[in-house]
Amino acid sequence: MDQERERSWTLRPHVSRKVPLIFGGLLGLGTMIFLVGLRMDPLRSWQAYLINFLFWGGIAQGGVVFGAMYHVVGGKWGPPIRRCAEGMVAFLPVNFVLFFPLYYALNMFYGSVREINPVRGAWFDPRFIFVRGGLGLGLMTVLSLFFVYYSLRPEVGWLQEQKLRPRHWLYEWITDGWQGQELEAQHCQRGLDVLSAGVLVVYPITYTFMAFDLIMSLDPFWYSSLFGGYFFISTFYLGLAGLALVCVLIRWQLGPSVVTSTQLSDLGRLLLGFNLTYFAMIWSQYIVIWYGNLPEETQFIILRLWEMPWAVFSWSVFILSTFVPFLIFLSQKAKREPKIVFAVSISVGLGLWLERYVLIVPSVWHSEVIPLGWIEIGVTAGFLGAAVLSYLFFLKNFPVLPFVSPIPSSADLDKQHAEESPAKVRLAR
Amino acid sequence: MAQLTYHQVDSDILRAMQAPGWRYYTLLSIDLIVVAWGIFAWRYTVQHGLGVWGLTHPVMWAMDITNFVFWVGIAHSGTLISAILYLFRVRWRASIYRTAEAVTVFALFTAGLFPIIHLGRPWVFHWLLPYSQFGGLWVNFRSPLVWDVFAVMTYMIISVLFFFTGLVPDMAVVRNRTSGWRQKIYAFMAQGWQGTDRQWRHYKAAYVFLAALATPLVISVHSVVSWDFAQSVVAGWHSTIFAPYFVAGAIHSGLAMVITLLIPLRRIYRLDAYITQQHLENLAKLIILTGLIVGYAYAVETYIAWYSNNVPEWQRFTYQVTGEYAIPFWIMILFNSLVPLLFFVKRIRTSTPWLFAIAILINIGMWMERFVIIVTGLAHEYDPYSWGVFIPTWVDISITLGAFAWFFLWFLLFIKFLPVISIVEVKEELPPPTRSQNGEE
Amino acid sequence: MAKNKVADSLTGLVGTFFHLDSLLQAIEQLRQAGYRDLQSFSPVPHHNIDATLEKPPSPVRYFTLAGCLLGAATGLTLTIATSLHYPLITGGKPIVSIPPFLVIVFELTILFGGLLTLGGMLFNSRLPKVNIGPAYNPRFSEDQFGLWVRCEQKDHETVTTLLKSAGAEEIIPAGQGREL
Repeated sequence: MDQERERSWTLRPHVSRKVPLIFGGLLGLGTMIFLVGLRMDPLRSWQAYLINFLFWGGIAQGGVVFGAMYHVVGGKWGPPIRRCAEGMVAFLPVNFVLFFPLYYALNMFYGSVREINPVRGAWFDPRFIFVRGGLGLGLMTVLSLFFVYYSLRPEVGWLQEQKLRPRHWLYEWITDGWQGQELEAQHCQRGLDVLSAGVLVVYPITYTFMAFDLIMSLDPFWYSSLFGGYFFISTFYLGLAGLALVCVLIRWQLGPSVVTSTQLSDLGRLLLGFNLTYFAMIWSQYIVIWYGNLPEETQFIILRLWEMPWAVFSWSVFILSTFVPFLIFLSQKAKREPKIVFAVSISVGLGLWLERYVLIVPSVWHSEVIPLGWIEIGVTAGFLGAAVLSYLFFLKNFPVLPFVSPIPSSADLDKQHAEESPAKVRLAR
Repeated sequence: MAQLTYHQVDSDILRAMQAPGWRYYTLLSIDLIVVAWGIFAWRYTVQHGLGVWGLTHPVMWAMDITNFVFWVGIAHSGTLISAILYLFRVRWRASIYRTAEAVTVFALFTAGLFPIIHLGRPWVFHWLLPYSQFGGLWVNFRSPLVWDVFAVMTYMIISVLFFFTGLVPDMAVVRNRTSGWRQKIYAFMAQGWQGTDRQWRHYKAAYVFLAALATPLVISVHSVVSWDFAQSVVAGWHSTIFAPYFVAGAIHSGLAMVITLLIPLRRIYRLDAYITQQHLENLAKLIILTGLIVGYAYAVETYIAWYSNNVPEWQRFTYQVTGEYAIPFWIMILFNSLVPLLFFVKRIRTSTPWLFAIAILINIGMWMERFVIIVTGLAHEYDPYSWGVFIPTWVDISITLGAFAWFFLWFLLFIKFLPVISIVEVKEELPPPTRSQNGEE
Repeated sequence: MAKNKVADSLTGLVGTFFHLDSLLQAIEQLRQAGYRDLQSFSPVPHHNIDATLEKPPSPVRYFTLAGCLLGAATGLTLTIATSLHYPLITGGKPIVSIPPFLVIVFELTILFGGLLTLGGMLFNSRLPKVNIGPAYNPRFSEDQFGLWVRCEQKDHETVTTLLKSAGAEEIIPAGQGREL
């Protein structure tokens, strides 16, 4: 078993030196473009910043929530997938830090809310919005970090015991107070139980408030009680898509025995299910607003769905994130095919980026020119760089295959190939 | 469960279908009396008009529609357990899904009574059905009430289909063990099933697709029912969160009803080996989830009522908290969102008396929730001059009790005529008999 | 196929097995020996049985798809045609109001999909069956497995030996009545 564990630490994706350089470059470029954009058109830059902050933070948080969910239901079908999901936690502290610059945009976005609706008073003071958002985000970040901490601690502890790798400040911190394998396994399991439940309970609350405070209040007259629920489901769906993308990349690096077609197909099913759930959230809001026909509610929808230029964006969102993935993933074969899963994940990601765009921009942007150009691309590239670098950091330091999963031996490889083509199964012994 | 053999599974489960004793007949008789009383109350209504109910301006919908929504809601957990958990390959659903599905079908039979009962002229209930009248006038497909007709009818048909499809292999087992006129009926229901690989293959495929269809169906049905209210502009009703809120509430009440029925069933027919403490605990954990969602919905509704600056909506909220219906309101908050949190404590969710008690409280709470939403919404709408109160009469209450008895009647018959646990699925969960095993047969 | 279908279909042997792996072994051996027309009986489905028999996946999925498409088309036609036939404005909504109609379309999609799925299952399994074939033993729904092999009278010896070697407890000659 020790040999297997050793292999889990050595079986890791090979990332060439160029990759961190490229993404580091993107990060630098993005930062520069953002700062230049601040001079030229602050609203546009901050808009792009907010969209990307919610998008990339959402992928990371959605991924971690999947990990928590996997633990709570006692899942056993995909340990590497769970670890890939946990890896996304690496971006969360970065995302938290990236929240702070938004302080300078607050008056621009939310300054009018309090004037128009003085009844709501201090609750909508931009500074209070900022404090609330920061606290919520901070809490989620801390919970997520501790959740992944308990998952990694037994494995890093084993590594330290075996002295397989040089001492590293990260490993030291994680195994602080190490009490031996058996005691730690129990202790960490308990920690996982508590924290996974914690993540799952706090996530909807935090993200509901983020949606209400940061997005919904951009339009001070519009409200929808399902908006918070819609947003955290959408974020989870986004996280799933990101996870599927990462899993396909890991499979291309490490082989089909690490991320099997069956596991991909299960992820595909989850994506299909949450695609439908996501659409149900949109539809539930749409049909109620459509039927009631109250102008204070319908103006939000009409502006985005039926007026140019935003109509193009909205319908692209539906096509990319809902319709096309639905039609493709109806097929059982499609869900097993890594290239197709990769393409669908990209489609969903693109669609959901545009979704955040179309929720935020029409409320604040009032000039004729469509704000989609080098500033948006630049800021997106910057955030992309930051997210990928964080994830690469995680991959460099932690194993993709958790201990709980058997490290595939050649016999297992045969079995998994047999699973791919059931007609050729041999009789069980 | 590992020590059970296929033969023993058959015997254990079919034991419940043996001739009943005096206790069963007593329960059945009491039940029939209450059903008869309910029918009498309804006949009284048809004779004297809807005025004998407490309905009056402005509350023109009260316990009738509350009962309808309540029973449609109860139906949802059955489909959750049999279809949704099946798609997620959750193993422990095997021994409880038959009872849960029966709860679904019978709850739909009960819910289906109310669209007819609550009509002023029930003899023209066929006007609800889609057909052409008066030279080409059809029903108003734009109306949420017509969506209801389609949704509930579809749900009833699909649930019955799903129920009977799942029963076919079990009916073969029962057919083989009975004789006389009983055997003819079971043979008919078994449709000539022999368990050939061909039959199993198509059966399994059909089952997966029925489960895949039933899953979005069940979400849509209670969403459509919630839209009966949300599509209006009544303050407190016109809220986008109604659809998922009602669906979660439906599953919440349904799970509670399933627990309420499983606990005595398991005790009386000694089915502890099949409906284990783990099963009940897992149901309790699902209730935590649905209870949290319902609690979330309560909190968000409150927040948005304040956030929206909508005066009628805010006053309706304060009316709920402090008005004539404050007691049902606080029962609803306490029983639906706070009491289920007790299930976080392992000792409570593994104790049968606690499970039973909390399940009953949840059912009371969920009935109250429907009542509170509907009646307070109508009692305090936009114009203060037209505010009014609804007070239930003996007729309302009798019909409500009669409906409960009607549901329970079907369930009592179910216990005796059909296997309450799916024999085939339980056998599937056991390791198949292989040569390496000992002491078999 | 031989001309005398009835006589042909009466030729076969049924082996009874107490154990699943005996059944699987028998299937393997018989297939290797060239006897491809096999029918297994079991109280529960098991994916190994299907895998060893190497039968194609069930076509029920096409019935489901057809049902869903038919339901969607019916829903759209019903709602749109009837609204246009007797145009009445209700609630200020357009005559052909797609959002509410989509709810009806969705429900009918599921309804027809479900009905045709069941139909597909019955049709493909040739259920309902009035006469249960003579190869069937009630124990097959209880706790035993069965395997029916189509073979000529002259082959009965060979097949019997093969079945016995796999572990069959009891072997009876039996046809299937009608072609399955």
